[in-house]
Parts: sequence; structure tokens; C-alpha cells
Amino acid sequence: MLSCEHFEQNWTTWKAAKLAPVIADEMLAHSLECAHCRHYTAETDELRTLLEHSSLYQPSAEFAANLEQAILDIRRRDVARSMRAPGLFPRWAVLSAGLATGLAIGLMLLLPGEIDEQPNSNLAAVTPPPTAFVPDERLAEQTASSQRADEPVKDTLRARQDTAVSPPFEVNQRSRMVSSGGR
Amino acid sequence: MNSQPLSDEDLIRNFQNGDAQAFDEIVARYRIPLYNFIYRILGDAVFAEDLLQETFIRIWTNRHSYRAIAKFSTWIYTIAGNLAKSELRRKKVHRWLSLSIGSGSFADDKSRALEIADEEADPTLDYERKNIKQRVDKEISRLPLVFKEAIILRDIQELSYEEISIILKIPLGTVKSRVNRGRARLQKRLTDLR
Ligand SMILES: [Zn+2]
Repeated sequence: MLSCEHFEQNWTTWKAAKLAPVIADEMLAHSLECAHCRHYTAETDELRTLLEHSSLYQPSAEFAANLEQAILDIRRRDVARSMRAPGLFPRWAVLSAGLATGLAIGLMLLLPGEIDEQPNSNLAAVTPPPTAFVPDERLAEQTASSQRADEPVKDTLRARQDTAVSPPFEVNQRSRMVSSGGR
Repeated sequence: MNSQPLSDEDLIRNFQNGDAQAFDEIVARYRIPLYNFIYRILGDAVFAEDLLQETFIRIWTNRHSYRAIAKFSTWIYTIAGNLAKSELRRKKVHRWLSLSIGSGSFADDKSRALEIADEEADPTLDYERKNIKQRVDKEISRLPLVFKEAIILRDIQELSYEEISIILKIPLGTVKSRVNRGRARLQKRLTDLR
């Protein structure tokens, strides 16, 4: 036999017809037998009907665009921070490595015949991985050139309203964003 | 293509794996329920929208800290609820410090949030129904916070007692008791409408 406490606990789920049939039968039986729970049902039914009259509010029309802009700002800030952050190697080492890579690529372009035999060995290092996530390089470019800062990376929230086929959003999968504490 | 809508948990997992359209879908699903939750707790449309944005930003930045063991809804409501209650405390302190009086009443809120268009703009919505709406909104707003949040989550947002227990970090028995006591208060205050 179902207790009154369980009856009250299951009441909303029962009303939504989401209870397992066995328990729903028990609820029905209990409501027929128990005056307290019959009263509870009547009162709660009435209240919930009234609550259905309560307003349903919505945020302003600019909400989606504002959110998108806020997230874009955070991403830009994170990219800028990661560009400034001291890496594993000293800056001069990174710069020299970049210079050496540039020189190597320049040589490859100037002397294509000599390295034709093994065209892919070095290419793998400079070809971006075949992934849907265009990484933060473009975002970094945008961050660096503040003149173009307002150019959106991707307008998904708005694009979503404009068209059913929206382009893939670019997510920085590698660099985890610094959290400000969710809980 | 699968026509079955993805669960919230599928969406956040996809988002964790880099699919930002999943984030858009999360925003689409939770924008209005969360806004109603925050707005009813704060009674201030502008702050409610700010906190709604902050909630989604936290989902974005902390997406990797979500673990599949928890229901996504409890996670997002916990974040929103914590933000709203912090703001409420901050406002209370501010109000106390400035000794201002007569502000912050939900029913008199000058910056009333937008209601869902089909209800507000409906000219056929008669005076009596509008009156009932206002009364119900006002009485919900007048409930003490502990009952208000329990009633909103249970009777308006229709979350389970278990979910509410997790969101509010109180035992299941306390949730049930708060819901019942909140209902009793509302019933008493809305007697004339019944
Ligand atoms: Zn009973």
C-alpha cells in the first residue's frame, strides 16, 4: 500500500502520466481510499491550474547577439593571453625555430626538384589536421589586428535564426579556457 | 539522419567534443526556462538577463568540468540559481546600506521583462485573465525565497524532487516540505481566485 508521503511525491509525475502503470494504478487506488490525498489532489490541481496562468517571460531580442559577442570577447581574450603567456621554451628559441622553419620552406619552394622524392615528409608538419574545428589561428589574427576586431568569427547564434544550414562553429578544442568557477 | 532529438547530456557531450552548434541548441532549450527562473527570483529584468548571459558563459567556459554522472539540467540550474542568489544577497546588502525603501517589488518592477508575445500581445486575452496572471505572478513573488524557488522549480519548471534536491543542495525531505508549504501559502493567498 502506497503511503501518503509517496502519493504526494509521485503526484506531479502521476498527473503528467509519466508513472509506470503499476505505480499509477496504486496512485489511483490510494486516491480513492485516502481522504487526505483526495483533498491534496483537489487543492494541488487547483493551484497548478492557477500557476498555468502565471506569465512566461522571455529575454530581450538582443540576447542571442549579446551572448555571442560576450563569448567571442572571452575567446579573443584567451587567445591573446595564450599568445602572451611564457611557453615551454624561451622566446628567442621560438623565434629562431620560426625563422628556421621559414627558411626551410623558402628553400623547398625555391628548389622543388631536389625534394620531390619525399614531398610529404615535411608537409605533414605544416598542413593543418583534417578537422572540423578551425583552430584559433584565425581568431589570433583577428585579435592581433584590432581594426578588424568586430568581424565575427562565426555568427552561429544569429546564423541559426537566419538559415537552417549554418556553418560549423569554430571551437578551440586544444586550449582549455580558464574557468571562473561554475559552482 | 537521426530524427530523435538529442538529450541534454548528448548535447553537452557533443559540445565538450567541440561541436559548438550543440551549445546553440543548449541556449535555445534553456534560454526561456532559465530566464523565468532567474527573473522570478530576482524580480529585475535587466539583472535577470545579465545573469542569464553569465550562466551560459559559465557553461561555455566550464564545459569540461561537467561530468556525465550528473543530469545536465541540475548543473545549469545550479549555476543559474547560485548566480541569482548571490545577486540577491548583493542587492540586499546594497539596499540595506543605502537604506532605500519601496524598491525591488516584483509586481511594481518598472523594468518588467517581456512576456512571451502570443500572450501579451493577444487582444482577446480578457481583462479577468490578465488580472489573474498579475495576481498569480505577484503572489509567487511575495513568497519567501525558500518556498519560491521550490515552487518555481517544481510547479512551473516541473523538475523532479530529486533534481531540485541537487540544485538547492538540500535533502529530498526538505524539498518536499518546502514545495508543500509553498503550495499551501499560495493556495491561501489565491483563495479568492478559486
Ligand atoms: Zn493518503
